[in-house]
Amino acid sequence: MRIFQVLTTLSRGDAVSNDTLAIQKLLKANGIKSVIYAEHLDPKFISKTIKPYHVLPKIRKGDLMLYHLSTGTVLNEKIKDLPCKKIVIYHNMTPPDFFVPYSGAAAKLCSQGIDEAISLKDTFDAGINDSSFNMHQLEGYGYKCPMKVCPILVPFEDYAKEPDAALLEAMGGPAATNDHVVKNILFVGRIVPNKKPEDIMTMLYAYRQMYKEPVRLILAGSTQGMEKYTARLRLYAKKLGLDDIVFTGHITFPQILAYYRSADAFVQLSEHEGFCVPLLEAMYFRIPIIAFDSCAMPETLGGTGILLDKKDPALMGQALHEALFNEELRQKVLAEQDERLKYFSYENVSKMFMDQLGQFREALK
Amino acid sequence: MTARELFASIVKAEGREGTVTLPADFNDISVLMGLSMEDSVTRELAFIEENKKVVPQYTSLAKKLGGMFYGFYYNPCVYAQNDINDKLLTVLKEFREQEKIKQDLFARINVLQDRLDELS
Repeated sequence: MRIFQVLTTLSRGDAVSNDTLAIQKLLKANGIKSVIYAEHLDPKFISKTIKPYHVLPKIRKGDLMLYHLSTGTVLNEKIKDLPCKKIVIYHNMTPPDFFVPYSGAAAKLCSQGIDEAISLKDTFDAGINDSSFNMHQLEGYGYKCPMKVCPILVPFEDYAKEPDAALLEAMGGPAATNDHVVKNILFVGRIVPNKKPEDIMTMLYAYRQMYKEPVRLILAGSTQGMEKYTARLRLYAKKLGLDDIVFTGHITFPQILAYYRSADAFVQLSEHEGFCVPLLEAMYFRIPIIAFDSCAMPETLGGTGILLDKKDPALMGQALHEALFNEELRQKVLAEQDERLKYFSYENVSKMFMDQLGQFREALK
Repeated sequence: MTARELFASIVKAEGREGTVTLPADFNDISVLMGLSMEDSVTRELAFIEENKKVVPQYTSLAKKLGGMFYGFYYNPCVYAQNDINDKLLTVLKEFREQEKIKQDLFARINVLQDRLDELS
């Protein structure tokens, strides 16, 4: 049985791309050869086992395709009539409404993606979803194939690599061993409307109205394609008198490691996430998390972190202060997060994925 | 007691919800105030200006013939121009779509303004 993974875009730093590559490595470690085919492919990735979709060989009935569904794409139509068995790996799609004010193209792509996901409801033989939230969404679209939940596979060993030393020093050194005079509040993710960085700005404003201890906010993520939204964010920050927010833009892996290592608190107030890998990263780097009770985030946190059920500015400011300076609370949060992270360990998720894949392969014979 | 329970007890004890008023609402900030459509178009046009310098075409007969037979030489100018044209088309399409959204919003503003005038 030949196994292929198919996705729209394979590029560096993208959660879906990272998951695809991690799965390929896992399959290989289990003696299963597989090839990745991507519609859009960074040429640096091209190899014997990673190829552009247009060179997909003739597909046979006995082949197995693992299809990463995450966006609108011509592939959603192309794969429908392929004779092989197909397992969907669903990463969720952002509702288009978030993008309407900022990018008609992005909104259209999201809308198209959801329509296409619905049209694929009878295409797949099985499904593996990053979260129950994602699985329930597919069920809502009418998917009747057997489905399971398996978290995104994260090779945490990569995070032990060396951070950008100069940046780490500029940020005050590792938070674990340095008592920062100015605390670093970190958000990681693309600067897009569904992730609500404006609410983090509101939190920062409220904090500064209520407390004296200095903090700074780092928004670590690309703003590409969201220039109008970013401009609006900057104007909002100006109106709130927040003139020191760091918009990092696209950064390298050593730089993101430096930001994580120097962070004193991690904030994620998103209103749409299918899984949220940065929450796991924050857990790995032992940063107390403040998150909003929305979509898949409570599931990923599994009862850990500080979860806000409303975005009252004073409540958010207080949560930030407590996460930074209440040592008893801070240690409790970190201990709970350490325990939760074990569920997402590479070993545990690998076993889950291989077991589920094995069960599906057996059932699909 | 879990961390969340501890936090909830702190919040309940201190009762600080609702005590901060924001000087501005993000939703009241016009997208148009933040960045005009012209800025995006200007940036893209600047990119096009920078890249429109002509790439010399292959003049060697041998390379041209080689390209015809084996397909590994190509006219880089044509590809570069196509790429620029694609970018321009994307920008213009986006511009048209955003203009339509803008016009629809202005129309809605006018309707709401009329209603406000009637009420006041």
